[in-house]
Amino acid sequence: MTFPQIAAFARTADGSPSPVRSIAGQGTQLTRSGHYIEYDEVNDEIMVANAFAQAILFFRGGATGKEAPIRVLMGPKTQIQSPDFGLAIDKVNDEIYVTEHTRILVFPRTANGDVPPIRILEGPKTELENPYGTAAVRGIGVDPIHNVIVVTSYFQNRGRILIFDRTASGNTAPIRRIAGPRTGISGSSYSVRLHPPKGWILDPIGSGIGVWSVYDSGDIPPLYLLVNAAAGEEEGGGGEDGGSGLGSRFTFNPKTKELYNNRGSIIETFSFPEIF
Amino acid sequence: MENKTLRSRQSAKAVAALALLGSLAAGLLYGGSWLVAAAQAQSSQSAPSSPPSSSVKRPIRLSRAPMRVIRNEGAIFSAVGVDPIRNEIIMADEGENRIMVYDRLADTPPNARMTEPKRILQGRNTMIQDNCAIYVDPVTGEIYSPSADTSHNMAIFSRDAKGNVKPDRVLKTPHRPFGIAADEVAQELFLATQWPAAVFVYRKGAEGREAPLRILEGKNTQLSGSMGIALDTKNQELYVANWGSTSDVKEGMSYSDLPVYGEGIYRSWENADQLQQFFRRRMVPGSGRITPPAILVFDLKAKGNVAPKRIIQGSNTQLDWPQHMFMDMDRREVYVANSMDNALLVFRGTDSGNAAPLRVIKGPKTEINTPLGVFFDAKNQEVIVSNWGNHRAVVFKQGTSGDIAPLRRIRSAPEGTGSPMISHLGAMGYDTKRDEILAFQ
Repeated sequence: MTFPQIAAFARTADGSPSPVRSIAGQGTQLTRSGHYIEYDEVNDEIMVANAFAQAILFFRGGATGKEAPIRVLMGPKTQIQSPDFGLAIDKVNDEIYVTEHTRILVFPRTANGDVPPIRILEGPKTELENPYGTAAVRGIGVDPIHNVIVVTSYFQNRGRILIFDRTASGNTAPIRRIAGPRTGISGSSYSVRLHPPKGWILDPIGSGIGVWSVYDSGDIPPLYLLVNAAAGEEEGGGGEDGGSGLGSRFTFNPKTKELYNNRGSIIETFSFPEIF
Repeated sequence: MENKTLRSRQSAKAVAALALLGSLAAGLLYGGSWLVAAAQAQSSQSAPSSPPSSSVKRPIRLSRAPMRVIRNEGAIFSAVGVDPIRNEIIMADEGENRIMVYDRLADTPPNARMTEPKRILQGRNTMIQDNCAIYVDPVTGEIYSPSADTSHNMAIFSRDAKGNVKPDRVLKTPHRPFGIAADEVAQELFLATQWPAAVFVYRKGAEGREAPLRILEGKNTQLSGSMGIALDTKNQELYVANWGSTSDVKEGMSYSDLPVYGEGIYRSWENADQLQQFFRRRMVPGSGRITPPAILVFDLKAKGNVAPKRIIQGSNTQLDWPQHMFMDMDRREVYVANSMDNALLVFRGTDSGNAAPLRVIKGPKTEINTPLGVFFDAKNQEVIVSNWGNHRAVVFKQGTSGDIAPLRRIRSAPEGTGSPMISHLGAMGYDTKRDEILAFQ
């Protein structure tokens, strides 16, 4: 990841094509070490973070080249410290979520410049803290149909999924937890994705991508386990972000029932019609 | 009581109706089975929603091979070094986590598919990972390979190492280094880190958890997303390229204040990821800022929180994501791989302020495409540029300027091969409007 860019490839691309467009360069205010991207299909925007500058960047959906972001959320009032591991857009309620080690900041989706969060979820009851290690909260997703946010986190250095009411604020406990040895969750992935129409939580685990329901609770295996048949056994598991075989960085397209996965320096497209 | 009950029922219905409306809106936006989604949301008002059937045996395993694969064909070169004694060009291919060694005079014929390297270092044993830079010892030929992100190991190999071999030694580095350079007189190794931005100086033969000799860091340094480094040991100056994104470190939590490795409560942080998380918490929330790109010039022995002697910055400089740099000490010129301008910039070592480059090598004939690496070969009076964008390195005579064809090129893929330029992606997205996969690195 020496050279940062947002590269767009045709969905059906195969082989070694150049990107159809690439957002890169000084004017974009991007920098290295980006770990999250989300496309907002309602507002046709792209959201990423610049972790070094503690900023959230919003680009026009069709941005290309050295195009500047249309909004930059940055400054002392934001309280943003390390924003790029967990970000989520709520396109229905027009809010964005930023995970920050042991808490979650919520901003208006159109926030620009130096603005404070409108909600902060933090405190011992949230179980977002991890006194046993340095890492706590990682990935986040928002499901406005079921009105929940889903967070991946560490506790006692084991990975967990926490489910909160979408508007939870302050020192509020999660409404459900998915954790335990039967879940297969070992790390805390920032790649967690939600599919609200089905109420799915897709979270990388040691051996692939686990698919849970937002209604699941406790020490319960995923309903589905998606595995990369082309990856070697040694690639299937372990690591903080789940298996390198499938799930360390991924997203999906429910319309074509495809899942797009990054493994090392390749992008793989899979078909999983069963879960969509 | 009946009125209250009636009002309660009416209130409950109103709440339920509003919830239904909200979920209907959400469902419409998501398309698909919005009616089902709305019904589920409504039912949650009175009782917990139904989970999936408990009779289903979990998990249902779905194992698939990919239908399509996008990958780099050919190398994406992040850095280049030259062994002038043995006449070899050594390059880092970050896409495949490998080091490729070529004959210095190799020149890929136009009709050839590619030039085969003489040696390749690659494999799990090598510890080569996210290899962003290369340093080649001009006397011993040793190859130094730091890791830009996922590893804290700089692997050092003997000059004839090849295949999947362990490094001869490993130096534990801070997180996220990029530029590397050596003071051959003092036998010191310089390493720039991007965030928190700093320059670490080690004994050149350092290994294991050996502490740096000195650290250049702090707000006064104006180091900000530090990338390439160049040294002028004749004039005792250090050049550092800035990209401009940074935030402040909390009081008492600078690199110099903390033991990076080994002592006290930090001893358990062996895991690179945990160390990274710790470093992120060192920053002052909301202190982030983005400044224009620059080249900062310091005394070679600078340490601590000292200001640069000179700053090259401004629109005339043409700097646009400056990557690696290299010094021609005899002429006191600094070469800069200007990645987003597809150019090699040459500045005077004494430049300051909004200075235009002395020379610019740029244009379609040059075959420079997203240059990341640069090396000035003083012995042969040539400058080599390694490209991220078109699978090749190109060689120019010293003094070249303008849109001039290279003397030689080393190509690692057939001419015209596309270049996804993907390496260790950070995240994936999908653009529903344009039917595009978004890859963020």
